[in-house]
Amino acid sequence: MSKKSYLIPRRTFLRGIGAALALPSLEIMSPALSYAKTAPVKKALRMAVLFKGAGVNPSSWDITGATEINFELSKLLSPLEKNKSDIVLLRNIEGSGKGGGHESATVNFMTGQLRKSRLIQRHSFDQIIADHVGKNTPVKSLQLRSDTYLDGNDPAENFLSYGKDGKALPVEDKPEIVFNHLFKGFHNSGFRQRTKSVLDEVKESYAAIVRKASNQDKQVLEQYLQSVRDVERDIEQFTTQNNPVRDARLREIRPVPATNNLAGRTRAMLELIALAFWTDMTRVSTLIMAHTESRSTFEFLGINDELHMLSHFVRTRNRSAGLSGYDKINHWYIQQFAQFIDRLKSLKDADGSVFDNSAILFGSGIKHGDYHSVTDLPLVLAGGGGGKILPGRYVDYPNVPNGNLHLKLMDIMGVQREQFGNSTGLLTGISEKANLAPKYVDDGSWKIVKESGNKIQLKGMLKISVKADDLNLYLVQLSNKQQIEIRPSFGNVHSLRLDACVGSVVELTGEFNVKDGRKNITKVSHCKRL
Amino acid sequence: MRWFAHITLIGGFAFSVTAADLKPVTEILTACCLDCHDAETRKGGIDLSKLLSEKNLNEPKIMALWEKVDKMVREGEMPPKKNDSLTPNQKAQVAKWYQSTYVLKDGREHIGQTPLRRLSRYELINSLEDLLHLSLKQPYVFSSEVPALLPSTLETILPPDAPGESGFHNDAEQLADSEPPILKYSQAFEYALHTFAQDSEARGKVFGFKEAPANLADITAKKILQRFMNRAWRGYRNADNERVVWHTYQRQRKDKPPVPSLLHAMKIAMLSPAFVYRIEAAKDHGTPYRVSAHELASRLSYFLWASMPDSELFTLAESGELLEESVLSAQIDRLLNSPKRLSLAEDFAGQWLGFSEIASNRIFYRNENWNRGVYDEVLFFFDELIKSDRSILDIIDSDWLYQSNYTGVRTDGPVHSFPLKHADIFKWRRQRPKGIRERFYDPPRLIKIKSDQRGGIITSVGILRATSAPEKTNPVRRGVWMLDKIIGRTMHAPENIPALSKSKKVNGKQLVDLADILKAHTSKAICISCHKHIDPIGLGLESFDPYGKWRTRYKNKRPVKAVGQFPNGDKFQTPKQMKQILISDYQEPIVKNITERMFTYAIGRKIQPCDQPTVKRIYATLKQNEFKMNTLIREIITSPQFQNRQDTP
Repeated sequence: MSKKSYLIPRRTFLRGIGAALALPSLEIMSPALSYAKTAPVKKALRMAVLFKGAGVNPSSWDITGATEINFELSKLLSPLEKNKSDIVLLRNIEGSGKGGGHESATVNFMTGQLRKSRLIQRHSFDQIIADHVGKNTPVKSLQLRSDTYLDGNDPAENFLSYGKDGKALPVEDKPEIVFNHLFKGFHNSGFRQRTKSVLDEVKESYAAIVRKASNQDKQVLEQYLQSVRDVERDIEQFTTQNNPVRDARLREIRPVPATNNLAGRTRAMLELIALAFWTDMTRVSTLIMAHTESRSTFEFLGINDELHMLSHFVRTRNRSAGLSGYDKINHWYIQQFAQFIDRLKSLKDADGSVFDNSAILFGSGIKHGDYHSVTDLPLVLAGGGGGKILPGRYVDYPNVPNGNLHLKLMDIMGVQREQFGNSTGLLTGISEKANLAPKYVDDGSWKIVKESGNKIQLKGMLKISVKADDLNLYLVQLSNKQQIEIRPSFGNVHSLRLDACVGSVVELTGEFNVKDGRKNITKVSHCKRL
Repeated sequence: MRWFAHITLIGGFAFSVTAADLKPVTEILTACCLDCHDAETRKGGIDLSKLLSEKNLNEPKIMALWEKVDKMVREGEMPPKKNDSLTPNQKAQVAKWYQSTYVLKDGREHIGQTPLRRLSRYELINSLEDLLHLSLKQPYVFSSEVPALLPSTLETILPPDAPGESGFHNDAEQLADSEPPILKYSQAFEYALHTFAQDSEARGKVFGFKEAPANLADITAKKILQRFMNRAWRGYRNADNERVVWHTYQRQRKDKPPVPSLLHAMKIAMLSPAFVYRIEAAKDHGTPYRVSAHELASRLSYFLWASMPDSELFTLAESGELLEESVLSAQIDRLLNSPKRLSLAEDFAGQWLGFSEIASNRIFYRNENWNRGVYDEVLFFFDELIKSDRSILDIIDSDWLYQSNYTGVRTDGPVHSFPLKHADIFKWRRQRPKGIRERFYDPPRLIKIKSDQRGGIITSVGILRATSAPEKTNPVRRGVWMLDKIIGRTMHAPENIPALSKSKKVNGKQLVDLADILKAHTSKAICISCHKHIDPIGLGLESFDPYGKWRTRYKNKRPVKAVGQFPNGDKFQTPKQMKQILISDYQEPIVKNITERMFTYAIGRKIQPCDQPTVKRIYATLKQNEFKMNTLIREIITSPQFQNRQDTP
């Protein structure tokens, strides 16, 4: 690629913002990379988290009657049809606690724990990985958002990544700025040279100031020196490591077009992650595609209601876009995810494609959009993980904590830890076939245990109705193939967290009536997962 | 290069705790509180049994719990039942213990540890403009293609800040904990100096000559750099650091002409921690001591202008006169009369009230004039509070407001006798950059109103829009916004919410009015505790649609009923009456909240127990001075926290 071809797309990219942006000294944009032809790129692993908060409608998401290698995609997952062999569908991985509010969903998703306090979270797993692998790249990790900032009560909701001390890391929401951060400045040898030449003096300045500083200020200033050293090391690495593959790729970078709507912005952010991974600018990235309390509207899908409102679909199903709108939006997000997979596959890398060397986690911090259950989180893992992920499978776990998944992702990325959050061990069945025995074997004991007056006690498999127009209907499957319907009130489901027991064998007591000769449970007083 | 990176914590900002005798207080807790709040019952999730031991008094969680106990007891909220109330003596004992343990230090008032402050991005860009005499910010250009306010070039280089525990981007602790983006600083300064080098006006001011000389006497160069360092470092002197900059210049001079050498040395001076941080001389004292005149000048200008001191302030600091009360007072006046005070509306109020989202968040974008008009209305309103020294309670309701022609909302009233009074703040951001066509824009005008519908910021189009979905209002969101931002009562979304729709039928009767549904919904005790505060306010604002327009009927033709009742029984029939009740019944929490927010922004850290006496004093002074905005600003500036330093907690 010639120098010219690099410069033209820059204008294309900026066209959207007009001539308003006077560019900082133009030469920063032109590549002046080393052309050395030695040392091929070593296989680098990448990890991305795509957070699509606000849960799903379980009836539209869940896959039924599947085995590990034989599964049909559900309505919501259907955009992944041609990517079936690229993904591992994860079932029954769960977060901490009994079910969360909006604000704990992100934290729970990233740390497998509830937060420490309103503002202080725990070290998120992506950052633990970044602490290790980020040293090798110019940018330690990328924190992005394609949804809009929530100026709400709760700051934690706006962030996915938290540093060692639990403080949120800033999130960038403008693709054009992310592009500048990634691909302007650092790659210009002139700029590198000029920056390098001042660092010694900056260190002298630092020393002069620290000599006179108070002890407590010294602690803060220490960060300054640390940052100078990081820049020094990055420049050193970037300049001395002959990396013709990377340099060639950088010359091919096409600026990401800026568009003004949510769809364009989401695609731009995903493209930036792809490019950053491909050029090895960073190996870790998180993207908030939708907040749990997202205020985004989806005019391009014909939906003017806020996603958060729609996500409470049991209660808002009769209003405007209702449940169909909610499903439509989630379907659209899966489409974006599928396109991202295809994009990564199209980018060649050592031993195959960038996709083969990546681990991409897509999911939400809650399951049921209205009940906010944290069991059986909607999660899809994609990528080859450098050979450490065996894709093309559907794995239904026996209710394992999401900390195990975090540990596994860390493990794939080369970070070994004993414990994380709610973890009980390393998640198995990712690098190799899970071969899990069927979780619940109907041993003939699923039946009505007791009955007196209008009280009933029974044991069986709890299911949620898949009928779209009957959203608050639950069923208990008995050994004799009979299904007892449960129509509890919303408050009943919510207070018992009944939703969290779906998919498990339960012992349930409640009140019932008889209609058309069939028993219907109207109120649940107790439900225990066995 | 780690511009999103975040590294290790700083141990510094804890409180000092000198525990007084806990025993009398534990007796009160055991007798009056533990029935509901022991480890087992944990009513409302509160377990006070943790407070019975003198261990762990320093732990943030324990401190927060004690803070809650102190507040609940002081305000008489707990114990909840009238006949279980604590006796005045018991109340006094709890208060005394809390005061001597957390508020005071060795029985005396103190100000907590003064944190080292790094410039926020907003402050850094302002400082670069003033230091180099340049215009580097983007003029207000909304773009349908972004779609929002266009970022300036510097904003595309420098990473954004995350708000800290104080709620603001200038939070010292948050900035201290995130790694300074050295590479981005380098890039930003290079850009700023590049612009500077091309601007003969600016060069003239810094160098004293406009045409680049072929040769420059060392003594002149030294003078130029000395003056530049003094300004860049805001009076902080460090001979070693000055030598570094001078040696840089000399090295550059070996093979470069004078001007590029000066520019390079200037870059080194700017990359010194002395520019990026506001370094103050520490005496390592555990008790408050007065800061130097230069340090005070910096604190003053960063509070009121979010930028470095100008030459007049710098001169008064150099001579030490600024430490005189009358001189300081005159300077406060001067700073508040300068258009640069707009930073208080833009940075402080924009973050506090969240209306900056109207400019920056694309979900609120409609068209350039609408967004600009809506944003300016709130911005100018807040600025007017300072400019004309009005009551901070005007935020709730006022007989004046700024009105834009572009919002689709019109209130009648005579234009204020000073129709162009806002010209000072408007003018300085009028110019657009080359290549962007100047469009006609009519700024909002100050009008005097006699309206039952309008008045105050809370019924401005900007706030009403920011708290609504595009097609429907959300009374709960509006109510929570009011409680959090205005009254200062933080609400947490409940983890287990009974359905709103399930409350629609009461005793077989279908409810249709939103007010009735909310009432039925919140009849449960656990809901009432919050909703009794949220709902009246949210419902009181139902007369305004999502775009702030007055309405008497919903789209489905049902009449809007903006009626309600506050927890104390006060009823209202209109938004106007609701606002009046807020002003009379919630005066103290509102004023204290505004005080704490601004105080927090001024000192760059979250409020701590040791600040209680100061907040109390400011409230008392405000009460005697008609709650005037500039009294608040002055009181903050003359407070011990603002005037002093303290090195250990």
